[in-house]
Amino acid sequence: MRNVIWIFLFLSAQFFSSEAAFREGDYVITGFRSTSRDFPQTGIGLIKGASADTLEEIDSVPSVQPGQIILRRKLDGEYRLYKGMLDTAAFNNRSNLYYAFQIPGWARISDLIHYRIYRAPTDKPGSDEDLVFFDSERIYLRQFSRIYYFRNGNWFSLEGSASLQQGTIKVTSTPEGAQVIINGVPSGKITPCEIEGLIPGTYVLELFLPDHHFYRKLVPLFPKGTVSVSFELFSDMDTVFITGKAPHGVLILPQPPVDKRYRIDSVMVDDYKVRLLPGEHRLYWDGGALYKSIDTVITIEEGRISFFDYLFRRQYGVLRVVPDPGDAEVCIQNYNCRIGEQIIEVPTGRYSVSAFRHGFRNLKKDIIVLPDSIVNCEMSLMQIPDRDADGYIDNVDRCPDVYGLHDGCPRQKMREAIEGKRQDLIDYIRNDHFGIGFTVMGMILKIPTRKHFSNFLSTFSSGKIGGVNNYRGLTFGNMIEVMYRGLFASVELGQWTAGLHYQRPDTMELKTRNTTYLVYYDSIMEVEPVLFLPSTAISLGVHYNWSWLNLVYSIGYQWEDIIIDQIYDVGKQEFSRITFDNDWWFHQLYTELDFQAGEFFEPSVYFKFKFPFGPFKWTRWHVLQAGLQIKLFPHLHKGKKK
Amino acid sequence: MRKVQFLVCVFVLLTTLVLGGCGGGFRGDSEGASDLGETIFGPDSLM
Repeated sequence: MRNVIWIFLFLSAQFFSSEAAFREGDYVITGFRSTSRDFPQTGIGLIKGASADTLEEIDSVPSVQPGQIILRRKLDGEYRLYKGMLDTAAFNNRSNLYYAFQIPGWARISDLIHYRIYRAPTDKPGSDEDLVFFDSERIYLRQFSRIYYFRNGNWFSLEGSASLQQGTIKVTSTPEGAQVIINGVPSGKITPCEIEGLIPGTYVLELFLPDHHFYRKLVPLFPKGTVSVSFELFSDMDTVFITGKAPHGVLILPQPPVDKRYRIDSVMVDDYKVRLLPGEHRLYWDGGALYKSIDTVITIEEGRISFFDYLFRRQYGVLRVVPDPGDAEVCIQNYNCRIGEQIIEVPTGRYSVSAFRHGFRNLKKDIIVLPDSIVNCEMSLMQIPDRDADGYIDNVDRCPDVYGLHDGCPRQKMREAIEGKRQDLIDYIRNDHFGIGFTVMGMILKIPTRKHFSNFLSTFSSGKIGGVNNYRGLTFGNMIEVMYRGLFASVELGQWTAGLHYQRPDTMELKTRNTTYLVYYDSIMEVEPVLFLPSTAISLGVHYNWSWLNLVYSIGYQWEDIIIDQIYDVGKQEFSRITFDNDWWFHQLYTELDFQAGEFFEPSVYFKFKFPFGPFKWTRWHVLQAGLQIKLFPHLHKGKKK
Repeated sequence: MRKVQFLVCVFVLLTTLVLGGCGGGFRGDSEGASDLGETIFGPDSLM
């Protein structure tokens, strides 16, 4: 008996210790990362993007139409969502078998997508599947016919099927010949017709026939099922008369967005086609907290069909989310995640609000936003006792209380940290689209490294400085840059049309080994010495675009001439034009501040520094440039066309 | 807009700027440059 008590106490201790080790929150995902970057398709299967080779990244799942599919991808402990279309051909690939799992009855897609999916029950929350697919009815996973999720302290399993069990919808209409539109996409078929190969789900069927009213029906399709749908189309050009002698008219009502019935006078009506006596009737529909209600009077004429065309309008409220600590990231369902407090006007309804911050336990709340009111939501996060930041909470690995903060606690290995950063960089390079930039207008300032030449130059620049001289002045459209896959290239023209003029009243004497030159200004004799600095530079390097900031490092070579025109050679007794060939290398550091990220046409301000190095012939320069430029991103232009 | 169209635009713009007198810098030293250069740039300027 004593042994039995000991075994009971031991098992109880095991049970409670395992309960304490992980909480239910560890098995769910509270927030999704989103950086609005597309994901290149690399033979994942089952999903194909709307464009040729990428999947669009999204930050939440408002609703999923039949045929649409969501990919949830885990990378470095973060989860991202991508939207695409279901590629049913993946189910024919026997070597890479996919299974479809029916979503349980309690869940909506927006709820279930937060649950981690496992191959087997486990006490390691982080061992969930990396790639999981969802649509409005199913979960899809590769290779495993049974999957698990953790909810309300218990493990639940789902059984999968290796086929989609497609069904058929038969559509007929009176009159015939109407175009059939499924989920807003024309099917290319005309009534009467059969649409085969549809995966189970709920479809929105619409029929379009010129000069007839537009009709819409929701059609549920079950696995391997066949559904017949018929439409009666009314002309909107001619008056429709009801045959017979019944003294009534017909009112056609639109299908409301929520399942609430209309009330006409004092009678609740179940159908959207109502027979009414001629005269005025009061029409009422309660939109509740979601939609603006209808309360109006309609007039019915005898023997005629009347249509009540109405656009249902949502109600709005204000949602205010205050996180504690104040720099926690807040994610509101259907909106982008942001740091700190948020106040936004949103359509009324239920919202899932999440907050997370490193070192704190993630928090998720469901909030109901009511019409014309402000809803305050405080998100107080609880600090996770993981002081050694090794990914294991301290009461599990007993760090640092038992082993000390840095003695014996497992830390992230340097190799793993480097591998994580390397993956981030690869992701960035893959997602860096082709972009091209043109400078519009800017300023240039050059400082020669040779003091002797600097003194000489000051005699030319002591007068009026300005214009386009490639020294201290303006530049116009002088640089073109191209960026792609993290690489950067630029071509820069050193513009010199104005030049630097010598307009001093005194004469400068330049004595050389062989002769003497005189530099003087005489407007009457039209002697005006000018110094020109034409150049062309190319540079190659790398760039990193972080939100509205673009940082560039490149290495380049500048072909440059220093030309002095109209100096008097005393030996030859003639005016000369001397050209110095002066080519030099430079490092270029370059910063662009974009005014509006994520657009095809993007103005930005640039600051550019050139630091010379390596061999040169006469002098090197330090160069500072700043100005305005325009950048164009062709892939965003394509998106706009759609 | 396709990448090829962009590259054509860049080529046209560059050509226009070069023909318009911008850029340059590809000439060699002229006669007397080495003599005068020592005076203007300093005695140790030649490498």
